[in-house]
Amino acid sequence: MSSRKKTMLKVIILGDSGVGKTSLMQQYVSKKFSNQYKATIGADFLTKQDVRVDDRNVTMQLWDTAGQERFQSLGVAFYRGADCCVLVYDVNNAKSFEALDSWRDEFLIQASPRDPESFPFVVLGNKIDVEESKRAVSQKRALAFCQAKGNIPYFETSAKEAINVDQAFEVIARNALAQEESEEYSSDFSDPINIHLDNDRGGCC
Amino acid sequence: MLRAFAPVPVVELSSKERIQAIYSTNDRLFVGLASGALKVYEIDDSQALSDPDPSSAPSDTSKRSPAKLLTTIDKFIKGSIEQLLGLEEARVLIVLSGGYVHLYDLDTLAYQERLHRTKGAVVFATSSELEFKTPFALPPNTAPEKRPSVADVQRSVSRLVVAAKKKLHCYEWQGAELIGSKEITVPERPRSLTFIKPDRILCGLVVEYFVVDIPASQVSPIFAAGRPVGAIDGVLAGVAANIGSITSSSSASSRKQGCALAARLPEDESVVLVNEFSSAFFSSETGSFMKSKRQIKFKDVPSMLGYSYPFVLSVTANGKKLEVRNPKTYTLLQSINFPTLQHFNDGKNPFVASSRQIWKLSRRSFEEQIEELIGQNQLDEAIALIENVDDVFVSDRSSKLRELKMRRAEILFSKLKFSQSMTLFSEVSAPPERVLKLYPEAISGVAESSEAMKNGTDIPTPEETSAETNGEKSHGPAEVPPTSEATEAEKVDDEERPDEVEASTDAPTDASTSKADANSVSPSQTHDIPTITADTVSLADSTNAEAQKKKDLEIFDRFLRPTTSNSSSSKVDNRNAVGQGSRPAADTLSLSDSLANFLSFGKSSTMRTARSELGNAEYTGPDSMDGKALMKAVRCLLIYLIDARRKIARLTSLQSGTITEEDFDRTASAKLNLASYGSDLEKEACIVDTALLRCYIIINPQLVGPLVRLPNHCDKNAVRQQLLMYGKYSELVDFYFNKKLHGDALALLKQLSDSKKVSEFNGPEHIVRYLQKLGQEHLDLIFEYAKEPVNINEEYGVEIFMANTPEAESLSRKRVEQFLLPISRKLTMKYLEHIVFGLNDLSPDFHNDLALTYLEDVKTNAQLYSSDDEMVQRPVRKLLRLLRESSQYRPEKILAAMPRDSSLFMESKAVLFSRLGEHKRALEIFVFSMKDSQKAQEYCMNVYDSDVPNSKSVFYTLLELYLRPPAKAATNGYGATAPSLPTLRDNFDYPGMNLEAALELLSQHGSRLSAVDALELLPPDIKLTSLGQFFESHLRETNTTINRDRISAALLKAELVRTQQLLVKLKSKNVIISDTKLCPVCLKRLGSSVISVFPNRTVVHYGCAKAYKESSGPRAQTVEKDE
Ligand SMILES: Nc1nc2c(ncn2[C@@H]2O[C@H](COP(=O)(O)OP(=O)(O)OP(=O)(O)O)[C@@H](O)[C@H]2O)c(=O)[nH]1
Ligand SMILES: [Mg+2]
Repeated sequence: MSSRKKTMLKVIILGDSGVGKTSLMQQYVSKKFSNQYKATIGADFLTKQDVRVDDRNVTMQLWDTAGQERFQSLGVAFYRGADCCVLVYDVNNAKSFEALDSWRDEFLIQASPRDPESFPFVVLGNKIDVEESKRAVSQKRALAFCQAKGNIPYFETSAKEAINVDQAFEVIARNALAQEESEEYSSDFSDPINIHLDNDRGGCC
Repeated sequence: MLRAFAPVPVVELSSKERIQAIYSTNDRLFVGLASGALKVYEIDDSQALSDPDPSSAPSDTSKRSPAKLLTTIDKFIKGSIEQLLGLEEARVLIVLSGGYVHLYDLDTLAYQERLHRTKGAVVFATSSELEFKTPFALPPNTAPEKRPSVADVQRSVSRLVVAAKKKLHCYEWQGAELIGSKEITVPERPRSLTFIKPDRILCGLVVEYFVVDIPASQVSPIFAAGRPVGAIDGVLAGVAANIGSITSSSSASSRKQGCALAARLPEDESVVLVNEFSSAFFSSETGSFMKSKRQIKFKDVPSMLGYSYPFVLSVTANGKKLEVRNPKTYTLLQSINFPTLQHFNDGKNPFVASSRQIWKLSRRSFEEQIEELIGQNQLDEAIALIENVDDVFVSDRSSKLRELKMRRAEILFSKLKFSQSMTLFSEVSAPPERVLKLYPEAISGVAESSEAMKNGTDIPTPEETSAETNGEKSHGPAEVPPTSEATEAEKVDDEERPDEVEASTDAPTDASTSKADANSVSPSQTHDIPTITADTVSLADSTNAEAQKKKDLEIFDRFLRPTTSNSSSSKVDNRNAVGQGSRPAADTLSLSDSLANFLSFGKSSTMRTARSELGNAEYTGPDSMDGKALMKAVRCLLIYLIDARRKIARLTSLQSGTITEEDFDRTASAKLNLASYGSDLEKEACIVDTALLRCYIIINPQLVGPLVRLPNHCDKNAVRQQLLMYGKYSELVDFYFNKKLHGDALALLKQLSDSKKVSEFNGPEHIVRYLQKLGQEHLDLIFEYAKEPVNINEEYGVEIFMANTPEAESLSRKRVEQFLLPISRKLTMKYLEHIVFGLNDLSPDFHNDLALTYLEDVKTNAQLYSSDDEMVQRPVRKLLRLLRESSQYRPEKILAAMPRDSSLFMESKAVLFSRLGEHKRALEIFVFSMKDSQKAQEYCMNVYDSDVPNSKSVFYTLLELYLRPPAKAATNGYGATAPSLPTLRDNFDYPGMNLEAALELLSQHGSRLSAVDALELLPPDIKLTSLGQFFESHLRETNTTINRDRISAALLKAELVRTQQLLVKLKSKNVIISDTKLCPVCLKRLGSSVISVFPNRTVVHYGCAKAYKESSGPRAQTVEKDE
């Protein structure tokens, strides 16, 4: 492949409202955390430049999405052309864990990847800094889920205390890159929506 | 070619006269002649007529001329009139003549002055800028007519710029008053002048341009000679925002020979530049070239250039042609032939003139223009035009635009540009039916018949009828005319016959029904149900695995049959047979070829429809499409379907109020409103989701699962048919579950497990797993389907009814128990244990039932095993444990069920008697039946409670049993109902009396017995020594009691004294505040205010405390607060 081409990896982050998607991204991209909750409206992306994956330098385009149904984006089909999908739940909220399946299915439909079986997902169980007694989803249960869905990598994170965030995104980047490279061979299906996006910088919908 | 403008001849002068300049206002046309004469005409717009041929001389102009000559001033000016323009706000008519600019009154035409400094003038330009009372921003393509009226004008600034030699002379009017002038020296002699902003003028040289900022007197070149346009960015100093004002600059660039031309396009703040080398767009907003824009291609360099909303007009070098272009698409839309044109007045009322004739360019309505473009199949142009013009010119603009884009998308589709086509369909939120119509039935699910319905032709066409009567021999949709092609297809079909014979003899009815379906006039979906049901039923009935396989192939075959029979003959080959031989589980790869054939069959008819609708649009037939192209078409359809799915979901939430209008607007970037998909969103959603399913099945079967598990609106019958066809059983089960069609799901699972043909579904595991997901509301269904698995293995019952899930716990326990009871006592027992011990159910019924079940278990097992076998002993222990631990059962009931004389239940019985308060009977069991005085004592210790009458005497009762055993007990023939014998007070020789145990009891628990009562029971001949311990413990106990009571009496006395002391102390501290008591500081009543009490018992207001403290010195130091 044309190796020195700049690689842009598109990552979609999904999960119930309030599980900490925006916080995780903020922590990863700008090392900041806020206790305040402000619902994401529509969808928006942050870019992380110069991410090293082995000997490659890549740019990550991280799409943060609204967990609340009423704020979900109607705009551009930004799921298309994604290279990795991150599913986030709150380890202290069983419902958010149970919703992962639907988020995953919804992603697959919206993105319709060529080979759904091999499409990379990563599951993050967030807010592990909260006291143990509040924990509602055991690590074992989460791992069992990930195993059943085709060995999805799993991380327990805290956006607040910056636990495991970098490690998780490293794997996300690596898997996204692998996906991107495998797609390069098989894409005979030009994607106008994706092209459109590139012009539409800063594009919230 | 479009006819945007129609030239209307308005003036024709005599051969002696020569036109040199024209200028038009709303209703006047000023014509300047070479002789220096001026003619003024009134233009009557109402008479606008369109005579398309300007070369035919207007013979009867005089009669019907739209121009009425108002006046002719022969000696208007001495020299020839070179240029003529007006300033409407300043009411000035400007005339260039004899190298000077002259000013006249626009209304009276009275001479005003000669601008002396303009000596050597060659060209001039004007602009006027209006400022409105309420500043507002005009949208870029506001039509001139829609602009604010004169009444709103607060201030107008008009400018005149005259180019004379290397100077620009600038004049400025405010209202009608000339307020100033200035001179700007420029590097070259300008040949054309174009205002690009009210205070900024573009000067054209031979090939180059420069921009002059008039207030700043600043000159910036933007164009270097010989270099291609766009290579140089013109750098203009900061361009001020232009809010609240509009400009109308003077007309077309003049026609000076070899001159760089420019025309301003006010709609998007740009300027089109044309010189002899090239053309370019320049932004007057940013002052740089617009890189995104291409060049306009002129055949030869135009001699004149102008703009008339929304077109660029140009006159060819020879003056013979006027060309009309759309600046957005660069396309030449119209070219009008004239005798040599020499003058051009652009803008709102464009006029052109030769040396003797003047034509008004009468604009045809935009609606007509659009219609015309559509008629000529210039869809792109029609779209560009409609996008370019304002709402006011085109009624129903947005829906027309949408329609055009949809047609455009259809054409793109026919040109195999699927991705673009689908993106365009998505952009306008096209109705799903319309998009799907482009696809074969395998995708759209729409049989030809329903299309016939839509067209209102309910009566079957002859073809259709024949198709029906033909039964299984009919092939495909009725629309295929009985041409040679059809016969060919039939031939092909005959060749294929050998492969099909088996299948069709096997199930001829099925095949014919489905064929008839495809052609029947009524909606086909309802017909699918019986077919498929029949299929699956037979699938269930058959036991022969081979036959099953054949049936499967039939389903599969039916899907593929249209290919076999109808696709153009060359395409049919053995691959179909290969496809049929493969597993029914969809293998896209092996499918794709046969599928392509199949799809292309469907296409031919749909494409035909598309063709007829699009008129004679260019069309490459479906036959040229190979399988790959069709797969791509299906893949691209996803773009549209996914978009539509999301939008419809959003609209549905809006309609149902799940989201608010505000949320909707916040997240919707597309122009989408409720009407986009029609009123029946549910129906549209069904069409979209079902089509999505069909696409996935063909190109990405792995996504079927996610789709059917998510909330979806897929049509139930279509899903069933499709998924069965491809053996996607677990997906179908998921779909049913999602839709709460549990009966269907279970029926399917049962069929699958019975048929044993799909190994994955063998055995009852799938049914069990499904049942586990159901709750109370489906209890009957659970019972219906649970019976079989449970009969196979009771563990399934545990999984279904005793899982640790909310579903299992929601089930009605009574009913589950009743369900299990006849099936298995062991399972029932397990279930009852689960709810009693596991779930802590406190209903007495379950406790009773559990006890009774244990009882039964003991009884049955006792007949099979010896009584000390675990099989017997285990339930015995369980029973005992339950009876001891639970307090919910009804002892009588259980007692009644116990066999009278079984030794297995003695202890249990004792517990039961105890529960009933019948301690005596309980003790009788220990003493007589079990002869276990240890247990008897333990029992007493457990029960004894000196405060409860019935329990107080329990030791006495035991003693009595030892010393006065009932007669029957002696023979060990004790029964539950045995009457107690009368006490024979005089006869102490009781048979079976157990003195030893009695003495043991007395010595250990003597204190819990009344000594008197105990002694009375003892035989008179007992040795006192044997009672020593009894008395001792009795005495010790009594002494302990006495001592304890003394201590507590003393303690209580001490407490009393302490409390009295406290009372006295507290009493001494009080102050009394009566209604009349005053504060000694302020002498006001204390009332109920906050007060301060000093140690000396003085009471003051809290606020007065400080004053009091100061006045009374150190004496009052501590301040207590109180209310
Ligand atoms: N204790 C703790 N709180 C967290 C963590 N991550 C996020 N939060 C808090 O959880 C709340 C929600 O976080 P967001 O990141 O806004 O959640 P979201 O997933 O983006 O929510 P939506 O935008 O509505 O989909 C905020 O108040 C955060 O401060 C974490 O790791 N630990
Ligand atoms: Mg968020």
